[in-house]
Amino acid sequence: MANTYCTATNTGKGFFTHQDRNNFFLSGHAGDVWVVGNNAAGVSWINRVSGTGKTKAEAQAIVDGKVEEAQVAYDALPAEEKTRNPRPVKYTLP
Amino acid sequence: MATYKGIQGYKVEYLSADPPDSTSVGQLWYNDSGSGAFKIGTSVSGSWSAGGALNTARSMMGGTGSQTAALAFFGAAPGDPSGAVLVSEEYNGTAWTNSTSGTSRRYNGGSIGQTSTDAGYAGGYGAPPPPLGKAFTEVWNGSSWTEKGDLNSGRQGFFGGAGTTTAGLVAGSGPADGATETFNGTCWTETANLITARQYAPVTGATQDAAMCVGGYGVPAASPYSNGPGSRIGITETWNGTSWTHVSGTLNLGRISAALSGTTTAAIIAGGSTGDPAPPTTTTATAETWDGSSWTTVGSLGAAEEEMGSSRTGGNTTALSFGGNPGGSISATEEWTDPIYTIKTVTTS
Repeated sequence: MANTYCTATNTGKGFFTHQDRNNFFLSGHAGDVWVVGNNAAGVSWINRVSGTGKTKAEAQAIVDGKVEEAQVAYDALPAEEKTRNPRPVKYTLP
Repeated sequence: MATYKGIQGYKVEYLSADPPDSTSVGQLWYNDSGSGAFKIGTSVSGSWSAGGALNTARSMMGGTGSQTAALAFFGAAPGDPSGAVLVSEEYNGTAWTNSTSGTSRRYNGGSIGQTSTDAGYAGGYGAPPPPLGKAFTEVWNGSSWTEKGDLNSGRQGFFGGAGTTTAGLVAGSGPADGATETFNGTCWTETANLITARQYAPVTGATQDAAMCVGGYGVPAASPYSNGPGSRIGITETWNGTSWTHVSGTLNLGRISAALSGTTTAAIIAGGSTGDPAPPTTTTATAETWDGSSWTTVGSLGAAEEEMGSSRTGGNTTALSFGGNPGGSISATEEWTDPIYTIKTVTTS
């Protein structure tokens, strides 16, 4: 399995470092979902940031929920503001 | 026992303290004769790391300064009754601190200025009632905001700008008419339009006479607003003080609403909304650096974001991206550094 999944709150400076980026794949998503390369450094990072492990399906559900929230917010925008961006769409986590 | 000198023909130098990271690459030394450890200096390609979080989560704000002395101003925050905020924050390389607020709530305005003590915010969406496209300009002197002359027409959809508060430039706004205006510290003057009219196109530049506009998207000329997003383009234009020129270097991934920092000879662009043709569109984490002639894909942001604020100085070696979307406005900051210098300890045996 190439990636593992967790939720973790970005605490700011030091949350992920240049060294982390060099050591493992990292991709953040709405709902504080993080897709993390499944190697020792990635697992160590999840522990360091007190991440809560998720299955891919659980992580996907969190992101989907956030996209749905964003869709509701988008639908409530005035017509002029809707020209700024298209309606958010769901996507599949890597 | 074989010695290093016996094998290599050289003695390893003793240093009482490690040399600066940037001068240590390729060097071998030791500090402590008792540890049996040598040290070597290495460098790897650049990356984005997490920086301090904004105190007010927001998107579509103004930004300027450097990676260690930046300013974030105005922007959109969904929790605010008007949707637009006045807040200014200063970054010291570690954390953001609230500063003096402006007077006219706006987001998606143009940012001029190069430092955290010299910034300006022009135009942008304002709070209702319509028309939402504003012409206001406010200038920051390091301690307070002062209103200056308006843009020649109210407009929004800017990302960035160039020059200073006494010689600035904004371009690439909406409606996508390609309008460019220069600022002399008092008033704005319309000048030559972009060749490719567009909006949400990031602009950066060190001076009023040396700017670049990258990406963005166009809208039907007859419409005051878009009928829907067009293709995200990768076109780069540079400004020489008189006219815009299409340059051959185009983005590897066309995008709008991205963080752009640097100059016409060294810049970095990150994040934004992509999709060609659109819709659907996707928020991207990818980043590209500019060397004056071409764009090169480099390490991605930690999280896909669009509508962020950005620093202005640092070329393609250091930059900040802060705030943005999706999932509602976020407070996260990311710091770009290239290359990454590391001193490694190697144990001899």
